[in-house]
Amino acid sequence: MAEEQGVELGLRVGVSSAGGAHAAAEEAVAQAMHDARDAVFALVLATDQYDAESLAAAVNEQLGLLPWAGCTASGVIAGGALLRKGLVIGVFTSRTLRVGVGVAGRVSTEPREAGVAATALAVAAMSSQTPHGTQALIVLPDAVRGNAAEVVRGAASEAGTGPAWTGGGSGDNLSFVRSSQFARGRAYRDHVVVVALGGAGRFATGTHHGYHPYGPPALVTRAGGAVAAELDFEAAFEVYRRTAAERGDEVSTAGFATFAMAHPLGIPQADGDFVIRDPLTTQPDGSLRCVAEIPDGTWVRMMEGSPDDLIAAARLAADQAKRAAGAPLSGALVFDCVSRALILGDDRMREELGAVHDALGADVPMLGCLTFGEVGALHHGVPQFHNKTAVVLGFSG
Amino acid sequence: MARVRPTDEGDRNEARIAMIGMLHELTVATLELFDPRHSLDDFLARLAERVGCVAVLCLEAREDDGRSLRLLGAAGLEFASRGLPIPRLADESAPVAPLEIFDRGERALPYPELARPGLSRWLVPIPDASTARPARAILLYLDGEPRWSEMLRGMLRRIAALLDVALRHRQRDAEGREHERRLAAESLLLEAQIETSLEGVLVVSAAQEIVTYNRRFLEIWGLTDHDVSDASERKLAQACATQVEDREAFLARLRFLYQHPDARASDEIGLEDGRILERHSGPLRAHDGTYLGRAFHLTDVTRGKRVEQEREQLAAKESKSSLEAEAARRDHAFLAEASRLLASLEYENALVNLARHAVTALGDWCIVDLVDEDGTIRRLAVVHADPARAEQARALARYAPDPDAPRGVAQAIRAGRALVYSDISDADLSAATSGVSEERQTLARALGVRSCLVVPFSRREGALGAFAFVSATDPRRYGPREMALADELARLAGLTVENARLYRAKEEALRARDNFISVAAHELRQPVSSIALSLEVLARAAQCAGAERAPLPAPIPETIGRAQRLCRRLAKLTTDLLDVQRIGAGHLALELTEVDLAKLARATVHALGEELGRGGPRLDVEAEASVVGRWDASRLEQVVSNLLSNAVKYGGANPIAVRVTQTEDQARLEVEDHGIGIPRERLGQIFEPFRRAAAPRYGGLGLGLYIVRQIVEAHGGKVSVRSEPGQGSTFIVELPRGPRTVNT
Repeated sequence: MAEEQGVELGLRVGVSSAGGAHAAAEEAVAQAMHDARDAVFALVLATDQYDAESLAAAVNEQLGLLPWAGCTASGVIAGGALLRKGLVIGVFTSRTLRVGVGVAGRVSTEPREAGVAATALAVAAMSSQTPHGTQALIVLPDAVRGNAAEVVRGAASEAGTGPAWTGGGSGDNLSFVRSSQFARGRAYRDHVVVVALGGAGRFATGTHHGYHPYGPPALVTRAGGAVAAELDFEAAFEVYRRTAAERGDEVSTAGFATFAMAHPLGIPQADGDFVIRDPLTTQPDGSLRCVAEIPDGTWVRMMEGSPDDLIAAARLAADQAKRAAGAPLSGALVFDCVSRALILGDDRMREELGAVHDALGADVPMLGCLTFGEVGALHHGVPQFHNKTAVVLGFSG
Repeated sequence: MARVRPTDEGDRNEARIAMIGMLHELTVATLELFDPRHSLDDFLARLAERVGCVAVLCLEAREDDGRSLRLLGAAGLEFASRGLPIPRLADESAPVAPLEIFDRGERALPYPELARPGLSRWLVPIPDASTARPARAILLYLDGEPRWSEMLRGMLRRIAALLDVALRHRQRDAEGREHERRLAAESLLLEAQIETSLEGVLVVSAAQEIVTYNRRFLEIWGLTDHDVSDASERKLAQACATQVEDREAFLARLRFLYQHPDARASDEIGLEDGRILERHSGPLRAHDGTYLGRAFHLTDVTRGKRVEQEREQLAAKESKSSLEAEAARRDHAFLAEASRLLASLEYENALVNLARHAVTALGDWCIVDLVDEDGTIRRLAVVHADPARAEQARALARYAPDPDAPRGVAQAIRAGRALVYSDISDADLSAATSGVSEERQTLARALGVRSCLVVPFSRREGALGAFAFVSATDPRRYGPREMALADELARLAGLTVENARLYRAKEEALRARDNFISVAAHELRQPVSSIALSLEVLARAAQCAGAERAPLPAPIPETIGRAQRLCRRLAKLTTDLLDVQRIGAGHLALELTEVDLAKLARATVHALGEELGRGGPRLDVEAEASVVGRWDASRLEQVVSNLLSNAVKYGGANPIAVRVTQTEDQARLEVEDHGIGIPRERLGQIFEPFRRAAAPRYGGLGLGLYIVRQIVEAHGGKVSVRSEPGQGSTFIVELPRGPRTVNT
C-alpha cells in the first residue's frame, strides 16, 4: 500500500475491524495517512455495525479538514481482503487532483432529481477548483429506499458519458432496512452522494457480471419501478417458477430469495450482453421485487452463472479497467455486488478479490465494498445501475 | 464476459430474442412518448442503454433555413453541453440534400463528449410521413467499431418510424398546449385588465346576452353581481335607465346600437344624481369579421368635468388678474411718463406734450383748454393720435371754446369734476354744436365724436383747465379705469400749472424787488452823501468851536457823532444795495492790483477798533508779515469789513480773532467769533441775499455775507463757514494769489 515515489496520483488505504467507531476511525485513518503527502480526499466505506453518526464524528475528528465521503455496505474490501465487519479508508493523494462532493435527496421520492442535484453539486464543487473537466464520478445512492436506476439516469443526464462512472448502492447487513451515505462530515439516509474527480490522472472502469441466459424469454407485460408484476401476462413469479421448473429446479415462495440470488433476470442488450436485475422477494400478488427497475415492455431472461464465471467476470472487469486507465495503476476501487459474495462464499470471494487484485497488479492499492447494485457502463456506453455485477475503477497518473 | 457472437443457430436465436426484446421494450417506450409527461431524453437514455451507446442524439433540421440543426433530446451529454449552440452550415450557396444536413451538421456539433477518440456514429433518419423527407434523425455514438447487424439496423429504422409519429404527435400536442396556455394567459390577462380597469366595461353578445362585465361597471350603476348575472341585457338596460336623466334617449340609443352592429358611439350620459358618464361603444369582431357582440366602456367624468370647469374659471380669473396687472403696469408707466413730461415750468408746452402722450391711451383725439388767471377759457391745443389728422386738429384748435356752453369743457369746469358723454350720435353732436360755425361742426364731424371724457384740472384757486378725450368710433370708450387715469392726469396737470404760475409770480415779485432796490439805492445815494458831507462840516465846526471858544454843550458833538455813524451805516446800506444790484446785473467790476492782505486786514481791524472804541470786543489779528496777491483792494477791504461787522454783531463781547495765512498759491483769511453761532439748518442760506441767520432784532438786510461771497467768487476764491450754535462761528476765505482770469 505504499505510495510509489514519483507517482503524482496516489491512493493510501487504511483498514480497521475495531468494534467501536472511534477506535476504527483512529486506526484506519492512522494507516491511510501514514507518510501521506498531498492528501486531497478520503473515501470512507464501512459496514453497518457502527452507528453512522458516531462514525461520521469519529472520522471528522481523525481526518480534520480533509474532505471525505462514503457509505455503508455489507462488507468492505481492503486489497484482497474482505471484512464483514470493519472500516476501510482510502486517501487520495495528489498535488493536482481536485475533488467535489455533492449530496442530495430524497431518492425514495425523487430519485432522478436527487441524482441530478448531487451530480451538479459535485461537479460544481470540483470545477470551482480546477478548469479541467470531470474525469470520474463515484455515485453512492441509497439502494434500500429508492430506484437507484433513476438516480443514475439523473446523474448521467447531468454529467454525460464523458467521465468514468462507478459506485454502488449503499447497504446494510442484508436486512435491507437502512443504509447511510456520508458527505459534508455527516451521515445521511435516503440520499445519494456523488464524488467528482478531475484535474489529475486517468480513470477507467470495467463492468462485468458473468451471468448468461437460459430458458425462453419472457415479456414484461406489467411493471412499475423495481417491481415486475406480470411476465407474459401472468404473475411474474409463476412464469419465473415455471422456467426454473423446466430446468428441473423447484422454486417456492419460501425458497425464492435463495434461489433467485443465483438465478437473476437479464435484460438483453443489443451487443448480446445483459443488464442483470436481482429479484429479492416475491409478493402476495405474485409479483417480483427486484433491486432495480424492470422496464415495462422489455424481454427478460432467466440468468445463471457458475462461481468460475463470476470470478472470471470480475477479473475481466479489472482487466478492462487497467487497459483503459493505462499501467501502472495508482489505485483502484471495487464495487462488487453483495449477492456475488453470498453465492461465492468467503473462500471463492477471496479468490475473486485476489483475481481482481492480481489483474490490477498485486501492489496496486485497492479498496471497495459489497454493494446493493453497482454503477458502471457496459462496454463504454451510458452508465447504468446494475445488479450482481463487479465494477472496477482503475486510475493511473 | 465475451460478447455473444452469432456464430451458430443458437447464438442467432439468442440475438434474435435480444432484438425482439429490445424492439418490444423500445416500442413501448416510444408509445410512452405520446404521453407528454415522458421525456424524449428518457427514451433516448433507454435506447442508449440497450444499444450500449456512449451518446444518443435526436436532431431536427430547422425549418427556417434547412442549414442548421436543433437538438431535440440527448442521452450521454452532460447538462452544460446541451445548451451549447449548434453552428450553422457554412457555404451558403451550396444546396443541402435532405440527409446531408444531418451528415454535415453532425460534424459541426459542439459537444465535447463526442470528441472522444475511437467513437463510431450511426445516423438513423426519422422519416417524416407527411413530407416523405427526413426532418429529424437519431445519431448513435458507440465506443469502437461495433458490428451492426442487419437485424439491429432494421429494428432501429422501425423504432425511428414509430418515433416520427410520436414526435409529431408531441409537437402538435405541445403546440396545442402552448396555444391553450397562451389563450389561458391572454384570457387571464384580459380578465385582469377588465377587472382592474378604471372604466366600467360591459360586453354583450350578438344575441344580446351579457358576456362579461367588471367591478367598476357595477360600482358606476350601483349594482351587484346578482343584479347583472341574473338579468337579461334588456332588464339591465332598464335598470340603468332609471338613473339616467333622459331615459328615452338612453334606451333609444341602445336600441340603435344593437340594430346597427357597425355603429360606434362616443357620448355623455347625464345621471339624475348629477354624475356624468362618458360612454364609448363599438362592435367586437372575430378575425374573420364575424360580429361577436358589442363592448361598452363607461367612465365617470363628473370630477373631471368639474375640475375642467373650475380650471376654466380659474384661468379666466387669472387672465383677468393678469390683464388688470398689465393694465396697472401700463397705467403706471403712462403716468410716470406723464410726470416726466410735466416736469417743466413751460407748462403750456408741457400740457400739449401730455395731451399727445395721452391721446393714444385715452381716445383718438384730445382738446386741451386752459383757464387763464382772469377766468377766460383758452383753447391751448387739439391733438390727434393719427398724425395724418393733425392738421384738422390744429384747425379745430383755432376756435375758442364757449365758456357758457351747456355741455362739454365748460360744463366740466363749472362742475369741477370729470364728465363722460357716451353714445354720441350725429344728432347729439349737431345739437351740441348748434351755435358754432358750420366749419367748426364739419371739423368736429370729420374727426369723429362717439364718446367723450372731459376732465378738469384745478387747484385751490379753482379750475385751471381741462382735457377732453374723444373717441371717434367707440360709443362707450370711457369706463371707470379711463376716468381714474384721466383724473390722475388732471391732478398732475393742475399741480404743474399751479406750480408754474406760482413760480412765475415769484419771479415777477423778485424782479419788482430788485427794481425797487435799484431805484431806492440810486435815489438814496445822493441824499446820504449830502447828509454825510453836512455832518462832516458840522463835526469840524464843533471841533473848531471847542478849540477856539468855549466848548459846545456835550450832547451836540455826541449827537453829531451818532448822526455820522448812522449816516455811515446808511451809506453802507446804500452801497450794499447798489452792489447787490450790480451783482444781479453782472456788473461787479474788479480792479486788480498788488494787495497785501495781511496789511489790509490789520488796517481794517484797526479802523473798526477805532470806530468801536472802548466798548467794543477785543480784536486780535494773527497775520503773516505780508500776504500779497493780485486782488481788488477796495473789494477785499469790503470782504474783511463785512466779516468783521458780522462777527461784532453776533459775537457779543467775546474776543474776535482775525488770521491771515498763505500757501504757495493761496491766501487764507479767517474771522472767528465766539458768539451765538448759526443754526445748522440755516448754514446753507446765509450766503443768499436778504437771508439772515439771526433773529430780526439783530437788524440788517441780510446782504453782507451775500456780497462777501460774490466778491470772493469774483476773485476765483471761495468762502465757507464753521459754526456751532452757542459756540461761535468761523468764516474762512480762500483766495488764489497769482494773476488769473477773473469774472467781471
